[in-house]
Amino acid sequence: MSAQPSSSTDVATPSTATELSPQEELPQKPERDPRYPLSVLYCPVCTFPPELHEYHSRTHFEKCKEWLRKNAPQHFPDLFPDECAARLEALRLAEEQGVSLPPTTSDQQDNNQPKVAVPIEQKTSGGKKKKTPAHIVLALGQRKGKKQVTIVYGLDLFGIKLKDAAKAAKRKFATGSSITISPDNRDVIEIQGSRQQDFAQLAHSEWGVPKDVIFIVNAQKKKVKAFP
Amino acid sequence: MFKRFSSESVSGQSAMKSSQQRAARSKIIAQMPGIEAYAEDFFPKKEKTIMVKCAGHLFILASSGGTPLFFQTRNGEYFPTLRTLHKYPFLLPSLRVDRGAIKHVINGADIMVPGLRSERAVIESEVEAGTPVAIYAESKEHAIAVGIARMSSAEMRINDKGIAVENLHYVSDGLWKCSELS
Ligand SMILES: [Zn+2]
Ligand SMILES: [Zn+2]
Repeated sequence: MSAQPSSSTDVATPSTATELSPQEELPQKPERDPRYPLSVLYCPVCTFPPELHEYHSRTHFEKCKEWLRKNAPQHFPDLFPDECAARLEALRLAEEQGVSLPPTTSDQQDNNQPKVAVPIEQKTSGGKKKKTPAHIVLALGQRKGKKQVTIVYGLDLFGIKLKDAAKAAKRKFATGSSITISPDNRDVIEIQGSRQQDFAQLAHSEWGVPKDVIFIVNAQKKKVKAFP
Repeated sequence: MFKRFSSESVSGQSAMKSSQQRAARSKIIAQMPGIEAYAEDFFPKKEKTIMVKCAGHLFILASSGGTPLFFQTRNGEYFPTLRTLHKYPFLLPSLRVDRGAIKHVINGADIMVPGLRSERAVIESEVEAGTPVAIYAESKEHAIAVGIARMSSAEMRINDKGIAVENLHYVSDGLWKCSELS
């Protein structure tokens, strides 16, 4: 039970020392990951993390609302389902009529530039245009027995980096997400859980993928519009 | 375990002797190997960790400033507090319940098998009965409870009912609310 002193001087290499590889220099000293400790945001009103506020009583929630609006807008869809539904409906109507809505306060920071993803032209090695339609398709798959995953096809066709997409999914849904290759040899991302509708929404809001090119493979194995 | 915990539940507290502190440190490292690189954060060299004795054979290890870091149950096992776990989420094996279970778990209910067998739940780690575990929830980032597995993960997959994890400490209980002990 010898307590290992581990001051920062262990790491500094004296200039006179002979060159040693890092492994020899620091015999099995576990290394810190600079991400930790994570700093976690708690509501100063009630102490809950923002993401758990939907489980508060309505009256209690009212007290936390203003702080949440300022500090945790990403949780709005969960926290303010009614407000968000109204906003989405207004957006839908505006889209139909071809007008744009003034952004809400919480939208302002990231909506300075309109984001619209346009499909990039796919060329085969011969220079001919490929026939693959530029669609994003969300299918469900199974991993390790019962574990369900959402497979996202076609992001590359819109110039969306798979790495960014996997990261965004991880962040937004707090779930596992990775880049992989589908059975038919396409680059896809795989998200843990059933996230078809959620990812369709994300593709539209985050990268401006037009709603009418986003599809879902339903339980009957039919490819249907994600936003009918 | 901490539902009604408050500063009133504390029956005594004292700065740990360095030998006690070393023993606690190595027991915690043995139990949570990932913590070793960060042990200094919990046991800084020049500060004394505080041992807080509570009703019901329960101990809390707190920083010199009074922040609860770990608690120790009657049988000697250490658990990170949820606030510690949120900062170092790799400390415990994890199980993820479905959305429907969240409101029960944050009210102190034990984690029942059906809450882990739904297709929206994930048994993320393999555990044996008796292991300390972290409870996460569908589409939530931070752990909502810590507890002790009452069956192995293999049994959680085949059983239809029963208590999978005994809930010891959850967001909103007395220990959670006690972010600083005076
Ligand atoms: Zn709050
Ligand atoms: Zn609140």
